[in-house]
Amino acid sequence: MLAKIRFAVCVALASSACTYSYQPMSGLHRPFVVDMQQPNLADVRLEVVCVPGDLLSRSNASTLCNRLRTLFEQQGAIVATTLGEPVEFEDSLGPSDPANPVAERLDLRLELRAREEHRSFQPWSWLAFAFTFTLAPGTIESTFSQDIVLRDGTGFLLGRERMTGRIVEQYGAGAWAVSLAETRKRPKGDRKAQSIASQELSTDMYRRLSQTVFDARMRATVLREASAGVGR
Amino acid sequence: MIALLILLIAPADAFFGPFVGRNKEQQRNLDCERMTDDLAASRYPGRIKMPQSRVDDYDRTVVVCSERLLPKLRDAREAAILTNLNATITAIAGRTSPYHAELKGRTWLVESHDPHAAVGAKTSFALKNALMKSGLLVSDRTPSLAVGELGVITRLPPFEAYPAACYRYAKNGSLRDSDALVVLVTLDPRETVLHAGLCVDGTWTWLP
Repeated sequence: MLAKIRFAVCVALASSACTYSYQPMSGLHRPFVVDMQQPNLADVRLEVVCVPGDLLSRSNASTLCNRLRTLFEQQGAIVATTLGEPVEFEDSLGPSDPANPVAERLDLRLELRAREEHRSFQPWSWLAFAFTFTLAPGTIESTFSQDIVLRDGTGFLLGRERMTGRIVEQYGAGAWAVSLAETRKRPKGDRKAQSIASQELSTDMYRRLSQTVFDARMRATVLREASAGVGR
Repeated sequence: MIALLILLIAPADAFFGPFVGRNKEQQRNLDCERMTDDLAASRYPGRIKMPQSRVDDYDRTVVVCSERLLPKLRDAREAAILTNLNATITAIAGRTSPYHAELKGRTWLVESHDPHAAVGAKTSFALKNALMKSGLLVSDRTPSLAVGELGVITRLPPFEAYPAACYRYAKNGSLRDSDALVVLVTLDPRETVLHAGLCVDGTWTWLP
C-alpha cells in the first residue's frame, strides 16, 4: 500500500514537471538595426495605444504600455499611453489636455493588439503521457499574434505588421529528463525555462517595435516632405 | 510494458516536438506561418496533401516553415531588406502606377542609392522586373552627373540633393525627355525600409 502511495506521489510530481519553449515564427525575429540605447526617436511625439482583448487583459495591457513608454522614452521620444481602443483623430486634435504630453502635436501613433491564433492540447500526447506514467510528455501548444498598426499625426497609415510566435509546454518526467540532459550541453540562455522564454519574447518584441517605429518615423518624414514640396 | 512499446514505436517528434536536437539559433533561422490545410494545399500543391477522409470534425492547421538563406553572411540591415524584398519592391512599383498613364511611352530607368552595392544592385534589378511586369518599357541605362556636380550634390542634405540631382540630369541631357527615372533611396543607415522618388523632366517627386 505504501509503495502504491509513493508511486502515485512520484507520478503526480513528475506530471507537474514542465518545459517551456518559445519559438518566434514570423516578424518577431526579423533582423533589426536600431540600437535601443540610442536616441533614435529624439523629439518624436508618440502615442502608444494598448488594446485589451483576446490575449491581453486590462492589467497586462497597462503593464505593456508602461514598459513601452520606458522603452521609447529611453530612445528620446515624448510618449503618452492609452489603454483601450484609440480615439478618432478628429477628436484627438481637440483642446489640448495638459495631462497629455502629445496632445498638441502627435507625430506617431502605435496601436498594439494581441490574440491567440491557435491552441492545441495534443490529445494523443496526453494519452501516451498517461500510459507511460509521464515518460512521454503531455503537450500544449499555442500560437499567438501581436498586431501592430502605425499612423502619423493625421491618421495616415504608415505601416502594419504582425508578429507571430509559438509557445510549447511539455509536462512529464520524460520531457523534464530530456531537457535536463540537453541543458548540460547548452548555455544558460538556450534552456527551456519559462523565465528565459518570457525574457526572449520580450527582447524580440522590444527590438522589433523599436525598429518598426523608427522605420515609420522615416516614412512619415518622407510623407511630410512629399506634401510640402510637391513637384520641385 | 505497454509504455515501453509506445516509446519504441512512436517517432521522437510526436512526443518531444520539433525542438529536440535543434538549438535556438537553428530555430530562429526559420520563418514559419500557420495556415489552414486548404490554404496550405493550394499554396504548396503536391508538397502538402489534404487527408483523404473529410468526414471528421477536426479543424486542421499546418505550420509551414522556410529556412533563411545565408544567415551569417549578411549584416542585419542587408538581411532585413532582402528577406522582405518582394513585398517592398511590389509596394514601390505600385506607388508609380498613378503616373503610368501620364508617362505613357516613356522609357523607365531605375537607380538605387544604397550603402551596400550588393543591396543596391538587387533592389534595382527587382524594381526593373516589377516595372516590366506592369507593362512598362524599362532600360538598364542610368543617368550620370559630372564630377563637379557630384561633388556639390553629395554635400547637400538628402531632401535637397535628390531634387538637385534630378534637375541636373535633365539639364546635362543624361535624362532624356522620353525617360522617367525611379530612384530608390535610403535616408538613414538605421532604417530597414526603402523610399522612392520619381524624376521626370527635371522635376523630383517623392513617392510616399
